This record gives sequence, structure tokens and C-alpha cells, in this order.
Amino acid sequence: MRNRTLTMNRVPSESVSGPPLSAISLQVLLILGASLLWFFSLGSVDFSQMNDLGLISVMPPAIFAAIVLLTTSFCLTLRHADRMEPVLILQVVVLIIMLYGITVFVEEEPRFGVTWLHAGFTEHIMRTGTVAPNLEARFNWPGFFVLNAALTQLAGLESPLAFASWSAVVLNFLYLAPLYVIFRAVTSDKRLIWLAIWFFFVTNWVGQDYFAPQALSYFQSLVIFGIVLYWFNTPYNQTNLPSALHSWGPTRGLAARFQGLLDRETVSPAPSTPFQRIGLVIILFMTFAAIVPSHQLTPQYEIIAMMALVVLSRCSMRSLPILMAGMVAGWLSFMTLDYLVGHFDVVTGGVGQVGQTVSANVTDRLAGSPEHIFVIQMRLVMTIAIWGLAFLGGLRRLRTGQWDITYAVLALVPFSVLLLQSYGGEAILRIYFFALPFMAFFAAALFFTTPQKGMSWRTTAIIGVVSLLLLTGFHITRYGNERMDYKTTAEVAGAQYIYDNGPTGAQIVVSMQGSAWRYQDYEQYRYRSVRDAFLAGDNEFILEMMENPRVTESYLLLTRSQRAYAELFLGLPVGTWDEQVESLKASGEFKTVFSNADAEVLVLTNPPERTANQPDEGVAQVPNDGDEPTGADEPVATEQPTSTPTSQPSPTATSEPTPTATSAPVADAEEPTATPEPETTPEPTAVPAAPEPDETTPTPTLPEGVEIIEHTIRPGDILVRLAQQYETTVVDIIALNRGIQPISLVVGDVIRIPVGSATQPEFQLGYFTHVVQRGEILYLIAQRYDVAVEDVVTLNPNINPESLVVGEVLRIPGDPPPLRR
Amino acid sequence: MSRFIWPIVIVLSAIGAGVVVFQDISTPIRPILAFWFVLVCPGMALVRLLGLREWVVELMLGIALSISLTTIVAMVTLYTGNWSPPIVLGVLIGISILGILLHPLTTRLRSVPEVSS
Repeated sequence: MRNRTLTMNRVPSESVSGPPLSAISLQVLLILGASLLWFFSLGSVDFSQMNDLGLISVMPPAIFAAIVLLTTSFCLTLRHADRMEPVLILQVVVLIIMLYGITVFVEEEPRFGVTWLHAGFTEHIMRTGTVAPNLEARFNWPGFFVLNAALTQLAGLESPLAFASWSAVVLNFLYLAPLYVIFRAVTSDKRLIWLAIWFFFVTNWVGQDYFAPQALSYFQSLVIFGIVLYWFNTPYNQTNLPSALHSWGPTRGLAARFQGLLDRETVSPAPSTPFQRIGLVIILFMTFAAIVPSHQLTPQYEIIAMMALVVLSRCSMRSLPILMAGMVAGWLSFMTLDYLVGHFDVVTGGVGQVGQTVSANVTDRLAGSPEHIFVIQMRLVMTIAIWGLAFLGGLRRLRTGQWDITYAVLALVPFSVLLLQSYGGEAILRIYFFALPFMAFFAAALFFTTPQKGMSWRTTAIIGVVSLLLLTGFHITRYGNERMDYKTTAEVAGAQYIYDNGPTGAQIVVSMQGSAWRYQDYEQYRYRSVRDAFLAGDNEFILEMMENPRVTESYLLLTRSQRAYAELFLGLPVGTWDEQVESLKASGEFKTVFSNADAEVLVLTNPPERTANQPDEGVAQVPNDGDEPTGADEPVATEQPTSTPTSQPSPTATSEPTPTATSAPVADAEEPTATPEPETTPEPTAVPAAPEPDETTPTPTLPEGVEIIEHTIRPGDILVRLAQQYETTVVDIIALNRGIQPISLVVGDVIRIPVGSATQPEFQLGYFTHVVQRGEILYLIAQRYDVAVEDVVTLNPNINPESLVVGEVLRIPGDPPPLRR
Repeated sequence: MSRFIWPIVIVLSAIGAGVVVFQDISTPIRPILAFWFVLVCPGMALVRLLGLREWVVELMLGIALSISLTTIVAMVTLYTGNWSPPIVLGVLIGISILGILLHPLTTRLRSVPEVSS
């Protein structure tokens, strides 16, 4: 049985004298040399030369030389790991700075568009002292943003962007201690511990360590694992499977054999007093209590992991998963109910859809420029490599009689996420991330099977080569999207121009996502993307969007990142994006009000008379931008389009939330304008929802020449192209396919397409939809659209007429809005 | 002497963070002081009560607990309509001082169990 003590840094008696000073000096010199070489090479990074392979395409060879030097130093030190832990700590610290801090030193602004969005949420809290769950789903889990709002204000800073660039470095530093504790809980072999830590950092390419709730929750999750594995593991030979398994006939014999298997695991909890254990349990629950209101996925994963450990009798705190589940249920019930009721299908829709989840996570991402596809393939290779090493390492441990059942379970449990949901196409990234500590442990175990000191030169060389291969892969995979992910001060200036000059209630339209925007006065602006229309060269659609009379002003923000996104992820030929911008400007409908090398802001040459009111506080104004349903906070997921431009048939008939039931008509009545649209008609929602195959759904009235066919989604299909191919419109396709994700089509799905509808302006579905807003009642909605309450109820048999739910989609009988294309 | 280091560090950090925040002093060290105190000190003050001895473990738990305390206190002020980071800091300073004051009282409770070899 492996023993552990509370004095894990105690030096073995035979090595009291420690390593020779010359050995330490040599390693320190190597580390210093590598650091200096790396630092002074950064000045040679030229972003203007970057191609779709990302950062690696502009990294000077000296940076790789520095990494080779550091790796050599680490491998040499590992040979004397038990006596040179301080040097190993220093090496890992330098490694973290080199791998995760490089962008801090070479980039002008915090990377990832979503970092800026998270800064916007934080700024909202700092400025208003409130959250706005109806404005943005992620405000239902605001813990991370609240923490950072407090930190930012206490630090006397104006925005979290002042420190957001350092997130990856700081968070990876934070991961170090719990990783040490987790690995220390299963082995006392310092070589194995430090190699596992090294492998963790050289393979953590998924980029979930930026300024985001997931990143901090991950640290807290590691701490919980550290506590459980170090102090609350089941004592050796005391496995106690649930009695039901022993007493129930079919499982009686199996349980006995399985128990014998589990008893082979020899890890035991560290000694502790009852007082210490109580304190540790309190810390565990305090930590979990901070995760629950901060992130959707991590608590679910923690519960599943703890449940697995308890069922397999690997954790002595048997009530832990139940108490955790209670905490999550409490938060969901009291603090997020509005969101869950309105988005229940979104939250639960992916349960059991493993095939679709894998498709959304893997095959759908294999798109973009050839270099980008290579990067994605490298990510698959990297994933298979570390999992493969882990598998072999696990087998080798098994062959030497080391049954690491607990760690094997924790390496496999993250795969259960596939059963829950695709998480905005990010589930596999999260699986990789959650499993990584345990995979890294088993991968390291491939090289050290018995707890002895020293290692052969051959093993040293192999570890060095494997490390360098993984490090090369790391730079390709982690920074492969960098051409779009990095942000320049010039392009931020474009967004800042709008915030400085745009009136409250203005609308900011982008050609596609990827920009640094939404970081300031979040609730005071409306944000739109016209990606598909932009790609299709549909200037008329963009013009309609810009002419939205219900906003105080419209700005079209065009940035370098958007161009990079189009070329990198959508495979747009170089120059096409610029041609489309020129085509917009050549139309004469737009004029440039701001321009620099990386950003341009356009407004309408002849803006319509605006009828917009000041936005109502608490009324959601931001459309579903694709990642809202899952709360996904995507850096690598920037591959996954996050906007739903196509869900907006017209500037007014959009998913843009309607003003509250009472405000809009009153305002309109008081302020008649020359706007051609009937002002007493509030905006219907974005898209007439597609008919469901039930009896209450009216069949669309099909004019002659329109035929509905079924189309199976193939890789590379996007709605705009399908619409062009079948002479229809994106809006009409969406209208016929309820629940379709316009920006994330699932390969293999069959959708209905109204062929030829684009040439039939009178094509009607017989109803349109309205999303219930806070404060609305059925009577007022019916009155607003001039329809009978009974007709609405007939068309919506599942609603409770007395108590509408915020976010609920109602079908309203009648014609869609006149502006619908 | 070493057992007094953390109490001294925590008290000095609390004083420093309190002064720059409550006096609203703009100084380059304010972010460092604020981050250091908020993210490390309250948790360390409480974790030390357990007498776990290992610095790696104490650091891990101390930071995790500090983050949790700050998140929870800040969320309470937010959801009660009293958003105020200085109040959050005040509570954290109180927790830190309480942890230091309780330390002598828990000596017997945290006596280390016999170390197995």
C-alpha cells in the first residue's frame, strides 16, 4: 500500500545533502538562457505576415530554440526530481509564461472577441450594480462576472480588459497547485508527478483558459478533485459497494467480483483530524457554491464525476453528489427559472443525441481555408496522441499491478457530456479539457511504472522527443486561429468610435462575428450580424437592416477580424470580403464616418426618420447570437458561427425583442411619423416558426410554382447557398423548419425547402410568431396584432392563456409583416 | 517565527488594501494590493486554522476559498440591491481578521495525527 504523509516535501534521508550545486547552477543557467532567448525573440514576431496556420507561421526560430533549451533542462532535472523540486517548479513556471504568455507580449489587445463580450457583462455590473438575465442568458450565471466586477472596482480600474490579457497565464499558474495535489494523491514518485504536470501544460491547447467563467470554474473544479482524492478517497481494502448490488440476485456474484477488483486500488486518504475534515468539507462546499452560479456545465460534470466515484465506492463522502445536486437544483429553481422555461428545449434538446453532438463538434468544424483545415486536423491528432499515450500508460500501470481505478474513472467520466448536449459545438473541447489532468497522468505513467529514483538516458531522450513533438503541436493547435483571434488597437478604435458617438439605442451591425465589440454600455445598444446576407452579396438585406426605424442610429462596423473570420472559417477567397465592402460603398447608400487600417464604420447616406424610443431597461435587445442557449464561451469555438443573422427577415421584423406591451403603442400614438410601417404594429419575431406536424398548425398556402422538397444537409452547406440553389430565401427555409439552427446546420439532418419561393412575393405561411416579453399578457398581444384571443389560443394549444411565460414563442394568425422578404 | 509570517502578511495586506480602497487612492500598486488581498488573504486566514502544514495544499485551498468568499459576498450585495465593492472588501477584511484571531483557539483541534511512514 502506498503511504502518504502530510509532509510531502520531506527530503529522503539519503539525499539530505541535495544535488550538487553545479547541477542546480547548470539548470538555472539553462532556464535563464531559454527565458532570455525567448523574450528577446518576441520582437521579431510580425503579425502582418501571419497566414491561416496562425501564430506559428510568424514565430522566429529562436523561440523554438528557447523551448528546446527549456525542455532539455526539464528532462535533465527530471532525472533528479526528488531532489530538485524547486528547479522543476521554476521550469514549469517559465513554461507557462512561454506557452500562455506569448500573446500578452506580442499582441496589442486582449485576444478573442468573446473576451470583450465578457468584459461588457462585467462592465454592465460595475456600472449598474445589477444583472440583466432577460438581456443575456449568461447573466443567469453571473458569478464570474460579479467577482471580476468587484475586483476591477477594488483595483481602481475602469475595465477588466486592463488585466484580461493575463488570464491564461494567471489561471494556468492557479492550476499548478491542485494538479500537484491530485497527482500527489496517487503517487509519491516525483518524476511521475512533474512529468504529468509538464504534459498537462504542453497539451492544454483548447484555449479554455481565457477571461471566461469556464476557466475559473476549472480551477475550482480541480480544487474539489484535489480535496476528494487527497483526503476523502476510500481507504485501501475498504471498498463498500451499495448493499443493493450485493443483495439483488442478478448482481450478487458480479458485485462480489467487482468489489475484489476495486480493492486492488491501493490509494488511501491522507491522515487528518475530524476538525480538519470538517474544515475541508466546508471549503469544498464553499468552492462548489461559487461554481454553481458561475457556469452551467462545470457543476453538472462535477456531480456526474462524484456520483461515479461514490457508486464505485471511491469516495468516502457518500452524500456529496446529492448535496451538490441540491445546490444546483436550488440555483436553477430560484435564479434561472425564466430562462429555463423559455429555453427548455434548447437546454434539453441535446440529451441522448450523441451522433448529432459528435457531428456538431467534429465534422461540422472541418471547414475553412486549407491551412485552417490542417490546424483542425492537427487538433484531432493532438487529441488522439495524448489519449493514446494515456491508454498505453494506463495499460503499463495495470501490468505492474497498479490499479488506478479512480483516475481511470475520472478520465472517462467527461465523455458523459456527449450524452447531455453539444454545448454549442464545444462538447468535445470540454471533454478534452476536463479529462486532461487524468489523461496527462496516465500519459506520464507510460514512462515511469515503478516508484524508483533516477531514469535512464534512453527514457530521458524519449521524454524529450515526445515533449518537443507535443510542444510543436501545441503551438499549431492553440494558436491556429490567431489570425482572427488577435485584436489590434486600430480595430478596437472602430468600435470605440461608435460607443463615443452613437446615441443610446443605436444599432451596431457587423458583417460577421469575431470583432472586439459589445464591451461597453452593453444594454444600451442593439447588436446585429448580417453574415449570410453579406456573404451572398445581398446588399438590399443589409440596407433594410440598417434602415431599421426602431433604433436611434445604425452603424455598420467592418474590421480586420471579420475579414479573417470569413477567410479562415468560411473559406472565402482572399479579397472577396473587401470586394463586398467596396460593393456596399459603391451602392451610394453608405458613407464612411470612421476608417483606419483595421476598421471602418459606415452609416446610411440617407437615414430614414427614426421612431425609436430609448430602450426600455431590462428588455432584451440582443438577439440570440448562437452561443446564448448553451452559455458557451468560445475561444476555439469562434470557429462556430455565433450569430443568427439569417433569422432576421427584415430590419423591423426581427428577433429583436419588442418593447413591452404597453410602451410601444403609447409611444407610437404620441409620435406619429412618416415611417411607412404601421406603427401600432409591434415587431413580430424574427421568423415565422416552421410548422410542426400537428393538426393545429396551418399548412402554408403555397402559390403556384412553389414546391416543398426535402434536402439532406451535407458538409459545407449554409443556408444562403441553399437558398440560392433552390431559388428561395433563408427566411422561408427557417420558417419551414422549426428548431433549425441557422448558423449551425447539422450534417445529415433533413430540412424542408420551399423551392421557388423567392420568386413568389405572396408566399404566406398563414401565421407569424411573437416572443413573449416580460410584462406581456395575451389580451394585449392579441389587441396589438388585431386578432382574437381565441384564435391565438387555438393556434397555440400548449400555452396557458392566463400565465404566459417570458421567452415563449406564440403563433399569431395572419399575414407575416409586410417587410418580410 | 514562521507561524507569525502569514498573520503579519494578512494584517498588513488588509491595512494596505483598506487604505487604498476606502481612501480611493490611485496608485500603481493599488491593483496589486487589491488582487493580492482579495484572492489570497481571506482564504489563507481561514485555511491556516486547519493546520495542514503543507504550503502547496494551503495555497491551493486558500486561493480557492478566497475566490469563493469574494464571489459569494459580492453576489449577496448584488442580489440584495446593495452593490458595493468597498462593502465586499470590508467583509473580507473582517473575515481575515476573524481567522487570525481564531487561530490560537484551534491549536488543539488541528493537532496533526500520527504520521505514517
